Amino acid sequence: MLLAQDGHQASDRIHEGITRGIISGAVLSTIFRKPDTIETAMSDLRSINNDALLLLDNEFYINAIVGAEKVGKFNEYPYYSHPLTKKDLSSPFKLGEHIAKTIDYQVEVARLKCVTTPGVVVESFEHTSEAICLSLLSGACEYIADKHANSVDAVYATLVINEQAFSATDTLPSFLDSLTGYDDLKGFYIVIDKTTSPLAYWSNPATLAAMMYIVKTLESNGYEVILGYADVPDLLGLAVGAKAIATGWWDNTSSFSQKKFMNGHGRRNKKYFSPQLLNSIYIDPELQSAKALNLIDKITAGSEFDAELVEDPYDTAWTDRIAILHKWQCMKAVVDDIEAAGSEAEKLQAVEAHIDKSLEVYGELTSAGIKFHPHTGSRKTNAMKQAIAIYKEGVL
Amino acid sequence: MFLATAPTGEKVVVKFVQLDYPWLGNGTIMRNKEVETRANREIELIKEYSSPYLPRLYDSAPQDVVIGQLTYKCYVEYYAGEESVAEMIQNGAVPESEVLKMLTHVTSALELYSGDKVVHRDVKPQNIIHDITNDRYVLIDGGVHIAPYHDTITYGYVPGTEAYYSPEQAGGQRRSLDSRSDLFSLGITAYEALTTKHPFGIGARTMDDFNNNRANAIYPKIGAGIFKTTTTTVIHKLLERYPHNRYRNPATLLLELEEEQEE
Repeated sequence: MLLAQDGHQASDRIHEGITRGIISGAVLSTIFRKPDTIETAMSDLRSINNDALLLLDNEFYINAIVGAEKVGKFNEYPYYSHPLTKKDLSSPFKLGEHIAKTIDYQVEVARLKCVTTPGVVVESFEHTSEAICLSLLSGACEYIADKHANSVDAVYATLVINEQAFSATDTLPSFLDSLTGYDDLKGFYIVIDKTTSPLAYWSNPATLAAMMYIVKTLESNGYEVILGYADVPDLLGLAVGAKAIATGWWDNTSSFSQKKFMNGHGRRNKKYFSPQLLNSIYIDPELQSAKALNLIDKITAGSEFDAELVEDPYDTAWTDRIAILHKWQCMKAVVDDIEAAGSEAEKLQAVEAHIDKSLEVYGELTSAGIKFHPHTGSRKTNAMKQAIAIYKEGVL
Repeated sequence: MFLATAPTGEKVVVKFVQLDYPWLGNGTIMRNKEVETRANREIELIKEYSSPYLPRLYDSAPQDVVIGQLTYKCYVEYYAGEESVAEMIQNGAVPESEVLKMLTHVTSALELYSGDKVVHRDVKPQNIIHDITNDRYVLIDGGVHIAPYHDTITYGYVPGTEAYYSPEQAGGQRRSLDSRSDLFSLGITAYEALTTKHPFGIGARTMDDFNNNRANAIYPKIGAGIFKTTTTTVIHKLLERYPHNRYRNPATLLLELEEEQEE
């Protein structure tokens, strides 16, 4: 299932995406929406499709991110209390207050039936942050059971994991033992914090395999897993049991980093999502070079949105709205392919088929002289292929 | 323990738990608080949960009885059955259908506990009684259970029978124990019942070997060709090294066992 990850001015695009059936729901964000608009936004989207999967990323974790200043509308929420130190979060009394405010807002103000627990970024699986994360989770489950049992239908645990935690996977099993001990949860909303760089995370097969292992374990234990701030490499998660991945168009909605809340993290060059390459590439110069070399058909999707751009990649009419709808439509086709496969092995085969095709096209384009930026080249797809091999061998 | 007949004609077990012990032979009588707490907890547990697969208290209040100089906690339970699974194993491998029944009944009992996050901590063949008359298995001796928000009752040693501990229980992680630890112990019991061999004792020459086998879940897998696939799958899953690879809770296991029975 493909969901939209909320972003700046994304309302009409999410609306259109759900209306067209390109996306199956959305993860809304407090950064982009005022506290008194969440209820309406949710009900508007549900009025388009009653079965839409809608979740609020409560973004409590921002409170504990040092230097988080670009928080948009999040500072209008009743549980905004930046900056929170580890000491603040070590006091059971204070922890209880934060939990109550975060949950009460969702249930009493936003009138959500499906709530997310507050979380913090887990820096490593044996770090203080792991203990705080589990304390918030336990506390939230108890609080909801005590106070909101009749009004809450489903609880998703928020799990934000720093990519660097995956460098020591020997402590991961113990963390998973703890996570799978919660009977009151419907699922997990997982965000990987790619602080070093998204490319570093997505280019590391062992890390991707660890992500697959987490998803597989949680799914095997009967939980739904939603991967937030996702992109192409997270299709691996989908193949091993994630219920949904949520992605946006902009780099900061298809990849999460603590840095996104800090000053100086701006917009980038315009990109085009190529289903053949299984990656987003720069329009200038990569797509334009392919056009000049008469190789653009190797890259383009032929979606209902990209005809004009294919005709003239120098055209500036490639708006954010078109770009995001195009990407969602292309991603959905891949997601549908994966979900149509039966067993896990078949789903992984489906992903591998896309990866192999991508590597083949990259090979042709590179041979023809097109140079790709590290972010838009084949490193990610290569890493995905290796991650599948590691996962299958059960090296973790 | 004494087998008796109640005025109603029903068979009961009269239990005397010795609470006092002479101290160092100097005649001083000391109360063993740990034993007392365990006895009280078992009584609480029996009172709290009603299931055909758990013991039931006879309708008389537990009381302290002084015999000579020593005090005993005396309570009466309905007779749970004729033989323990340990005794059945001594007579040879237990038929697969009985093992599946035992698994189903004990899991039902554990499901009740897990709803309140209670961990039995001493599931083993000696604590599962076969009631032949009523065709059921009863999980007894909840005296070493821990409940959430209660401190443990032991300090100097770990209670239970070590051979049936889960890896996390053997590792002393008492606070993180949950029902999946009991499921591991149940897995050992079922394996032993089917094969008459303790899975982690096979090939072990020393206690270290045994502990290493358990910590890494090293044991000969049960032949799928000899037993039903469901039986072997269930037992192997119960004996997974990490709790997150076992059944999430007794209810999940019960569902699988009941589906098997329906088929």
